[in-house]
Amino acid sequence: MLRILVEKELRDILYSTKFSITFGASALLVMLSFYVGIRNYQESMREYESAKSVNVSTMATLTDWNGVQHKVFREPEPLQVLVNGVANDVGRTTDMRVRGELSLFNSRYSVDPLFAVFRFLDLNFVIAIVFSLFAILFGYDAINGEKESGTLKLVFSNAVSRADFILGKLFGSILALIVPLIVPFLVGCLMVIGFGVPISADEWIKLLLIILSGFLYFGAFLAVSIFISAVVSKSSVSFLFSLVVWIFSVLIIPKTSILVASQIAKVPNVDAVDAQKRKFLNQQLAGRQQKMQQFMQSATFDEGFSNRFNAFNDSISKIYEKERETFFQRLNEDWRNKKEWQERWAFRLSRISPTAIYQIASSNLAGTDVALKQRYLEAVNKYQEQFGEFMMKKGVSMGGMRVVIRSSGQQTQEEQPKPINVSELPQFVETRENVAAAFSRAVPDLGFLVVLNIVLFAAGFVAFLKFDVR
Amino acid sequence: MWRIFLEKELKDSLQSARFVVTSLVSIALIALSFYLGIAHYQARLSQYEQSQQMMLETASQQTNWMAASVFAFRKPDPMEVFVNGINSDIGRYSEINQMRGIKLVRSEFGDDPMLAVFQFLDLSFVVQIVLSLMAILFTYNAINGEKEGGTLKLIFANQISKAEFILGKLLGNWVALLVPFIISFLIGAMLIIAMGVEMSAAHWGRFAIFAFSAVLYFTCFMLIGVFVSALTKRSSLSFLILLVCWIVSVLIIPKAATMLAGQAMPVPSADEIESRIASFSTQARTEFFASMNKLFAERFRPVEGQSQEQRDQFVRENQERWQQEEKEIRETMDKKIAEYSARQYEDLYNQKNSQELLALSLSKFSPASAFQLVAMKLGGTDTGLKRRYEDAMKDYRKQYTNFLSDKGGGHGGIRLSVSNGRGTVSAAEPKKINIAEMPKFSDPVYGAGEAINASLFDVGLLALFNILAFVGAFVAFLHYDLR
Amino acid sequence: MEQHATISAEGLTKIYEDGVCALDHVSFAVKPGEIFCLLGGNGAGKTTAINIFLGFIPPSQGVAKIHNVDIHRDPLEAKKYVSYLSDVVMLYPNFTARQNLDFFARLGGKHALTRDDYYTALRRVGLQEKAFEQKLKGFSKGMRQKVGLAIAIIKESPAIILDEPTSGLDPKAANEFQTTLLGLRAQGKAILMSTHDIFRAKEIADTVGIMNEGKMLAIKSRKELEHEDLEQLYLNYIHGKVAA
Repeated sequence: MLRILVEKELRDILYSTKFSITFGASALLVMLSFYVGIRNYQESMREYESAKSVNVSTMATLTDWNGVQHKVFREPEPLQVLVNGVANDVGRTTDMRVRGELSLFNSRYSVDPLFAVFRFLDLNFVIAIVFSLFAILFGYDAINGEKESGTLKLVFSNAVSRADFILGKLFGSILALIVPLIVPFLVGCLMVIGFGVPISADEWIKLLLIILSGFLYFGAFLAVSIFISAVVSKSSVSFLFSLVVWIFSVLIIPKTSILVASQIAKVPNVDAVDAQKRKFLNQQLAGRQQKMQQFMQSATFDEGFSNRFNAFNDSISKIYEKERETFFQRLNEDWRNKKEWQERWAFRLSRISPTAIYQIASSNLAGTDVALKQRYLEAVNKYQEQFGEFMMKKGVSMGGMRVVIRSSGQQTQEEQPKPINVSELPQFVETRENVAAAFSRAVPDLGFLVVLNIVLFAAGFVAFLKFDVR
Repeated sequence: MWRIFLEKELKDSLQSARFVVTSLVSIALIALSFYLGIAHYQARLSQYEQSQQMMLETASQQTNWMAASVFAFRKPDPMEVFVNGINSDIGRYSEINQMRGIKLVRSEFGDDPMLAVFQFLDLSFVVQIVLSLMAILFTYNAINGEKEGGTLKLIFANQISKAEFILGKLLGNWVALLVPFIISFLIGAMLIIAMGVEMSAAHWGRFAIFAFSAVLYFTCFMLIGVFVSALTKRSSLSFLILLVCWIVSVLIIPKAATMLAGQAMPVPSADEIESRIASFSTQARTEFFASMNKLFAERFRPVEGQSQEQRDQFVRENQERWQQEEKEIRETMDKKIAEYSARQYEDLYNQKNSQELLALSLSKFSPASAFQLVAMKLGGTDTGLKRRYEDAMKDYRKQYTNFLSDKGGGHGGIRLSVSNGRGTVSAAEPKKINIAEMPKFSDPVYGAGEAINASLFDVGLLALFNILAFVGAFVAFLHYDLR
Repeated sequence: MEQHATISAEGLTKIYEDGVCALDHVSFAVKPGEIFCLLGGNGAGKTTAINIFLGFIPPSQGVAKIHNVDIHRDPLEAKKYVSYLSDVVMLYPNFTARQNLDFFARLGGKHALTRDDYYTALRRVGLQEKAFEQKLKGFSKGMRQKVGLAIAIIKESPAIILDEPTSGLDPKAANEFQTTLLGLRAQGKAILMSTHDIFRAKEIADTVGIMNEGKMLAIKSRKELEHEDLEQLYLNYIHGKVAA
């Protein structure tokens, strides 16, 4: 019996103008988002490569490791263009220094505010906004529409149970929604392959999981709208209600929850933390100057002075750097803890909305969630240690200053200094997250989506059991 | 006669469930967006003040002007309450430094990606999304719904012209839409006053034009709604078509236009430009050092083979001239680098400008993006915001650099001088600097006149959309089959 | 009550939550090959009775049986033996006439029907051939009603329940409808039909049950009615001039 109902539901939708229009619109959007995403990826890859190579070639002209101004760049990832998340908001460039705190700058949107005006059209946006709207369009008159057309009575004059009927509704319309997503999605995947975007097996699996969570997401919207259509007797009214739910879920709850969370959980101003750091650095500098003065006063200026001076400088630099690191770490950790608490609140609140749950899940899968910045910073910091060690080996002073005694007028007849060999520089490799790690972060939200589907469907089911079919 | 329709239309709308639901939702949302906008603005303002205070405090502890790190902060503007624009995407401040150029760093979204996840709910967004949706909801069955209900024939059984009917219809619906709009904007204005946002008369003027263009915007969607409703037989179909129109105009065209323009006119990245300049200046420096070395060799040629004393004598005699000479060579090099980097940046600037022009022109096919552009220009949070601040900060940097050289230039950090076998580290004068002497950064002026001028074209475009949609609706109804 | 009645009501009573008594101890039976007309004005309780027979609402008292199965006890089993046609038949506008028929036939347990079977049924109810594969969107009320009747026929159930089937039909369509109905009677179907059309009732019914305000005022066979003016009788009954 269920099969007949599902089949009918599918057919009913597939033959409708509603379906052809939604299919056309979603096919266009999904394929556009793939195309634009791929081009975007290639473009940013080109930028990334050229920035990297210019960085290397600039260094290659130097003859002394001391003058090296090394930069590290965040590599674009194919999944990031399909699920933007915060990838365009987080800085992409880091000035690599031997010591000191690193920061990220040149985020995509800050460099090109033009794109920030309307932001990018990514696959995630199409699913989160457009498909949820379509889900409502497919579900808002599921029950009361059939009553209005008189078919509900006809159906129930047969040996049909209510459970079969509502399950048929749900499965039929989910299948009818999956089609407009999966078909252009497959075309998009072919485009990914055709354009030669390097995408690993892990990323394919992640992409698959993203699409699956998309199914769960609009499944929830279908269940909501079916529920509403079982509670409200007129289909025009139930559409209005579903639309209000949509507006709240897509537009209002996620945005307000962030603001509510920032009221509940206060986080100190980032600039205040910066000022504290600067103050600390200034104190250190004063201390250094004093030590330096003491050193100089007791120094004898002979042949070995510059070596002794540099050794002294390095030794105190190391101490100060250690001090700075512990202090900064404490500050940062303190701030991060507060921030994380706030984020937890914000996302907890936002999870009232299925849209927020979906976005959190998919950005976790794509690795473009809020923690992207932190993860990347950690990777860069790790690299800084490597870089620092390497530079030490190359005789670069930790103190950022060195003494080269050159008495003016003396003719230096040394041979031409050799350019440095940049390839010796340790490579910065970002490890991409594997499926398991991304999945384990996304699991709670995927679970939420499943639970939400079940709860909403159960609500629709109960409402329908009480529905007056007359 | 049309008054009767106007009255009927109004009553019909005002008594319907859809009016109650939609107006409650939009009033709630608009009021909420006002509140959130104000809260965000005030938080930013206090952060701004605090940061500036702390910057000055830290700097005033210094005993050397060179060691003071000075920043120029972007000051939050009350118009951000209505239109956040690119405000949170671009950096909040720039270090003002002799050595480095202006670079706006630490954008709000970059600092706190949590905010970027869902972004802000600002007024322009609510107007753009919710009011347009509401306008469609009000009018999708304006004509064909009357036909479905059989009332159309009943009406035209009387002595009524089609023009009267359609005018009454449009006006009635428009007034019904205007009611929640006016209520919510009044609530918003009261919130602004009650929460103590300092708005100047110019700000209020900009706000008024913003409200006016919001009215133009939703009127446009309302007219399109009537137009489509007069073109189709069934209201379910017209609703579907309108929803697709809405999705395309609000969600697709703006994004697609900027992205397509980005691909049609690629612009080199900032990294590329910076690296190009860096490699150029490295080369220039290498050349400089080479020529200096050559110079040294030439200078000492006359005294080659002479005694140390003679050489010292020679050095003393020529020192001043040499220094002058060296300074000149250095200055030519600096100038060359500066010119090259200026040219690079100008190229980038021009390329970006034409890219932007293309993108925004393409996007203007959609009333939603035309409205968004009007709003951002009025609010001063358009793409020009970054440029205006960068220019102002560049001027300030010049001012500050001049100030520093007045204060006795040189380089920051520790100055080490070695003389007569005794070393001293001169940690500058032990006296603390007087921060009040420092020139103040003044924010770029973006007045009401400029804002209105910039947005005038797009307001006109919105008006044009309205006229076209009105004519469309009118003509379509004149040809409508009443049977 | 006779044992072999296909549709039977025994003391059916329905009191709604708001206290309105829509049915008051109504009993009747429809035998195979019988057309039973429930005659009554608006609010007489006809539709309530039908809704009980379809299991849409439970009776407050009494038993409604189809094919000897209590519809309230075992609704799914009972519904195997009944087909239904309502007064407003919109059906699925995106489906063609055949697709609508196909869906409902399979719901009714007929899984192996061919296209020809559907066409035969549609021909039988008098739908013009060219409409068979057209979407229902453009159908007139009469055409939709014909498809509805075809749906009722194709299930081949022993009981057929019709709710105001002829309201809003033009005379020709109503006449064709009547012909089809008589054919069904000849096949031995038990047909329960509600109507407020006295003339149609007299013409077609084997038995007429006159209802008013939830009460079954009288049950008259065709023979009993042959020499009487049904209209006068009806008006008399509902004005209480004749004792039930």
